[in-house]
Amino acid sequence: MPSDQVFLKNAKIFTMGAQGVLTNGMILIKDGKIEKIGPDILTPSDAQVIDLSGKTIIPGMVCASSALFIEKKDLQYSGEEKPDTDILEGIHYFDPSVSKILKYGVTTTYISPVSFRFMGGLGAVVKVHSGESGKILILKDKAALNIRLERLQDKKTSNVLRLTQYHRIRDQFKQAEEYRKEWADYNNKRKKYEDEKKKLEERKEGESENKPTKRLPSAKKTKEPQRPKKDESKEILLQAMDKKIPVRFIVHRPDSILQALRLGEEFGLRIILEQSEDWPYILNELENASVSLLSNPLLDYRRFLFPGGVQGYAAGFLQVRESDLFYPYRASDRAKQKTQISWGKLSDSGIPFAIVPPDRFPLSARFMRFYAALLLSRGASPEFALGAVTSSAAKILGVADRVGSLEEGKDADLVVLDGEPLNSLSKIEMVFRDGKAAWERKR
Amino acid sequence: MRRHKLSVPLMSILLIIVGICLFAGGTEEAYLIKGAKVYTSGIQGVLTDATLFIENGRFKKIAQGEEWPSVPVKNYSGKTIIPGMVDAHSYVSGYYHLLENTEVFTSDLITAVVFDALDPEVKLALESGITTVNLVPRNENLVGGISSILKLTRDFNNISVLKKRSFLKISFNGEVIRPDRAPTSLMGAENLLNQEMETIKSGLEQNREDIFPQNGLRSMLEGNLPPMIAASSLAEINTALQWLKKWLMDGVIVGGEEAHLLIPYLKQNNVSVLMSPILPFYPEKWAKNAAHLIKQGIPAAFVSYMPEADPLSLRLSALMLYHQGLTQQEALKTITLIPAQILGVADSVGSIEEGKHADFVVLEGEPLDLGSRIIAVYVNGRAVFQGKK
Repeated sequence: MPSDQVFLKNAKIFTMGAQGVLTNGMILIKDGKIEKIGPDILTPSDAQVIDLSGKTIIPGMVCASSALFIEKKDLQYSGEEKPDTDILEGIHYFDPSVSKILKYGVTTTYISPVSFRFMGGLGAVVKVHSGESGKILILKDKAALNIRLERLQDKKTSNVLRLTQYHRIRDQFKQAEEYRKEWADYNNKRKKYEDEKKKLEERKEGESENKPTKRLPSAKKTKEPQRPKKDESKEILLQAMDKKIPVRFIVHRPDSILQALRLGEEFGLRIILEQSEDWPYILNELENASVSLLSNPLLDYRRFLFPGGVQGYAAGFLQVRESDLFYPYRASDRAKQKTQISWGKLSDSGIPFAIVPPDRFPLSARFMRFYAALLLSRGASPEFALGAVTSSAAKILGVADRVGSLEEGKDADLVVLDGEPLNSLSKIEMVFRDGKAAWERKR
Repeated sequence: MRRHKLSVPLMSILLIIVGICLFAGGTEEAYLIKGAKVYTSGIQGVLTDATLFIENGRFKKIAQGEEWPSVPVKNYSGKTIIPGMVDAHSYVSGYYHLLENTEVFTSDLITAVVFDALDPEVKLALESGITTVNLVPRNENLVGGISSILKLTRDFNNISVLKKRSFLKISFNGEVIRPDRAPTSLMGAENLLNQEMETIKSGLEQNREDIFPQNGLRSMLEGNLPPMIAASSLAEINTALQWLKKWLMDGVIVGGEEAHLLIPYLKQNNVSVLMSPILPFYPEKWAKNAAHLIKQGIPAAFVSYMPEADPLSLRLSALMLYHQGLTQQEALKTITLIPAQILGVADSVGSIEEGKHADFVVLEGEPLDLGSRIIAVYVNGRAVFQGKK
């Protein structure tokens, strides 16, 4: 009789949690969750036992940005300017990329509407999984609000344009503040009105018992207040301002990153910076501003290149010429070097960091492990590099209670490798998702 | 008097500096590299604990435990050495200079003239281990011009050109087809090219080729310049192969995403393939097809299209071949020796063998592990990049 308990033993486990690295660790999986994990667990009698001597286990990897579950033609979505566009409302359930990404050990991903508008809508965190009935497993909805600070207009950008865009976004938040005031005002008036109405009724009752008077002065004074219109977009912005929904700013240049920080300070936002190739220039500001950073070592190179990455250009995704270059200047060698050495500094700084693929194409999530290896080669510590695709990514996405590390009670999402996780030459043997072997290397 | 007093210490400092420079220069002339694991890409395979004797910018001798001349020794124990990578199709430093979009035929242009040694892209390529490039014209013209093979260098006074006229770049790629001028179709492109060739053959040409006697198409017709044809899809590659057959020429296909479907014809026509790099968002099957092509014995190498892709994509592509079941040595050859062979410069670069240029890359770990840092890059025996210790 097959049991739903799986027992993995004798593996080197990178738990990415409190237990650190277990050189000879064991994991007991029950009902899709990790029942027990540690160096010494008795083999349960009714579990399926898998001996993983010489193998390595890491948590299922977490991709912090992807266009998975989005139809290809929707990649260039140019819908309305609405913060309340929710990715979960327009999902392409049977994405053929799912199995291809899973194979590379990525089990959780953040998905969001792809938009070239300022307010890109709400993203969600989901498992890399499409069930038979087209059901996707949602870990967190309304996981973040995407805002693009450097939008291209006619495939071009400029200082003035960026400033106008900054103010347009700021205006939206300002309007949301007004909206909140309007509602607070209405609620106050409403309360006052209700009170007076009540009082009036009481008086009426009292009067009917006695003698009727001719006039009721207060009833004429208080009109019923007009109820303001409900605005979903502004509600979302207000939630962001209450820090209930983090805001992901897609920015590139140092000045734009600073603009994002300014918005965050003004409206009390929880900020996640996405892409932000130029973070090395303002590392100190980032440290003080308590933001999270999502980037990729391959993005360093984009300073020469185009919006959406030159890969996007190569794929015919965007067609631009030299005059349209996002970075009309050439980075000096010194600046280049700065980026190269900064990964070590970032790894020491304590800024929450996770790796995102260099572009939004779903298949780019496959190489998460290779991006992490690249980070290692650029001077980051191994813990930092592995954390950037597992625990740290889960924390930034707000799903650390379920995924990102191997601890008791968490989802049994894990990857079995035949060697060190950050060695690109080691091959993935098995991928477990929710306690089940979702992929296995053919022998 | 005062000036004189000052100049004495100044002079001595200058002398010391000159002396150091001379001494440092001297050490570069001949030295030994010891302790590293060497992936030669040549017949010697992988050598553990071999010594490389480098003299005058070339590998003089490669052997184990022998008597060596008393020259300075560079110890790289525990490190790995691979040949400098060869990028057979690159726009490095000249992405916007390599497109002359006034005419469909610009066959007399030579790319070597726009190489910019000071461009940051050159530094990036060197730091990534690329030491030889074939600088090519872009794909937008039917005949874009003549490519040149260069050794990468940051020294703009000393650019070494391995071969000034290596290939004539022809494009059957989608980029050549535009709605506003001929050709507007693949069929038209092939025909237009044939017409131009017939005209040149008959000696009746009446265009810019009259003024430029070193015309690329004429050289190609005379058999002095092989064609390099950009073709990605099955239809494009098929057209390219038919065209090569028609004109009885050997050539090279660039792009070749669907070349695996035409393996017998590639073999028949003696055609090599320069494959697009495997970028993160490319479909999985590309790696599979590339591995298939190589296993079937087609000379096939990866190129970077730099700066359209990161220079790292060469190693990444080779890594994907490794994950398709090739050995690390075989995979490494597709970015070192095989491209050198396809370019016809394998007698000087592409592998670590006696007599060849001393172009090599020192890595911390395994060559195709993206986590292993590049410690040093040598071109012609001189360190052009040295990472932090």
